Amino acid sequence: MKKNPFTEEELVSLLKNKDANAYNVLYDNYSSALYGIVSRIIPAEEIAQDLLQDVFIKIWKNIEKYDTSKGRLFTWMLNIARNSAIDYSRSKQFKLENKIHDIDNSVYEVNEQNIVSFNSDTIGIKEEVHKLKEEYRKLIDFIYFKGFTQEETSKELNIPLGTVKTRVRAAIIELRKKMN
Amino acid sequence: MNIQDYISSGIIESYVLGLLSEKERAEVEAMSRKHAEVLAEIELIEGTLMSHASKNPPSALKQKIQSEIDFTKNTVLTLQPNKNRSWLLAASIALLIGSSIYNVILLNNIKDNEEQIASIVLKNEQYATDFESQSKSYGEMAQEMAVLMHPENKKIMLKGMEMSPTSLAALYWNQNTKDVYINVNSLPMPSDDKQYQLWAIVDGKAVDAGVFDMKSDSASLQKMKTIVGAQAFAVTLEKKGGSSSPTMSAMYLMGNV
Repeated sequence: MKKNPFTEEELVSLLKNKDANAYNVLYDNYSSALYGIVSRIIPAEEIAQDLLQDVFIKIWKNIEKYDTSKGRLFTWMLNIARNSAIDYSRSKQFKLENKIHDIDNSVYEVNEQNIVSFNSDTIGIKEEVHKLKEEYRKLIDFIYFKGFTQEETSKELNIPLGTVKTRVRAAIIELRKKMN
Repeated sequence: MNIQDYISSGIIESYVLGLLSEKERAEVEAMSRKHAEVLAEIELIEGTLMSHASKNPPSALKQKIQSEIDFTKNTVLTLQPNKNRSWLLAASIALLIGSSIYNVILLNNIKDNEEQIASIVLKNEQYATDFESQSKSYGEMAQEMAVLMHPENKKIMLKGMEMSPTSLAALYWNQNTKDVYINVNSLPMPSDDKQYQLWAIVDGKAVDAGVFDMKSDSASLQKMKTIVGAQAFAVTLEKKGGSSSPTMSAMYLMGNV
């Protein structure tokens, strides 16, 4: 992550003022994370790049609507990126392309609900994720990349809601340890 | 609850992942402003999640995306209405210009029409005048015709005397009404101070039947005084306004009844 010379409040204020320098800081600091999120849902690079472009244009267009009561700037942008990619994965165009990819032995697959499931062996999730306990990995996948609520995750993984909440923290602490 | 317990409760992870309600978010933000540790934890968790997702896009993408970004102030969100307004403004101006031009064209058309109407009215007036004079002259002619053709008329030819042997005049004398008309077309033009005078010869005496002018209109029939019991008519040249008795030396025409 590159050095951010502004506090989050300063950056947001400059972005709302359509400051080009602030845009550069925004891109340099967040493009990799947002691209990674988009890529996990839509691994096809060309499409993921187009989606990232859409994401930054949306951010730029809607920055005036953002304020800190909506949470962290990253959290807000994460939602935009994830929603753009998920919307695309549900589009007719994606389904059509996906059929073609199926014929070509695609590296990713879409389940019955057309929700992307991830093949971590082929789409390059970082090494440390492999070492995470399987349950942590699933938790992060569901909540962070798929945008599931804790309730949905609880149902999907068949674990109690309270356990989901504590495991999220444990999973992130685990991630942090692996990075260090 | 001490800060460490708060931090380890899992609420900060939920906050960064966007899993909290608006009320819970406000609470975390209030805590983060109060306690530097909370803010530090937020940034740490955020950094961890960002690094975990991180995949570098191709470096050329930065320039490509930047070229799609509009850096002019009050852009994008407010750009749309602005664009719309300027489009509307341009359209209204175009409409205004169009309608103005059309108005000028209409006005010119109206002017042209007014001019045409004026000229038609003028022509109509001319036709009316022409018609009036035509019908007047027709009326005169009809009247003259009526006089000439009257069954009770007596036509008397007045022949040129020594003064003007080639002169000739026709005199119509209505035996019922006693009206006398003379049609003169070949007497010499008199000087301004003289007029021709018609005389009726009644029982050897000359009776004044009125003076007449030479008209350019040769066909013109002139009404004279009514005459009773004339045996002959004569025309002499007299002083203007006529004389009480004829100047025999200036007799131009004469004819017997």
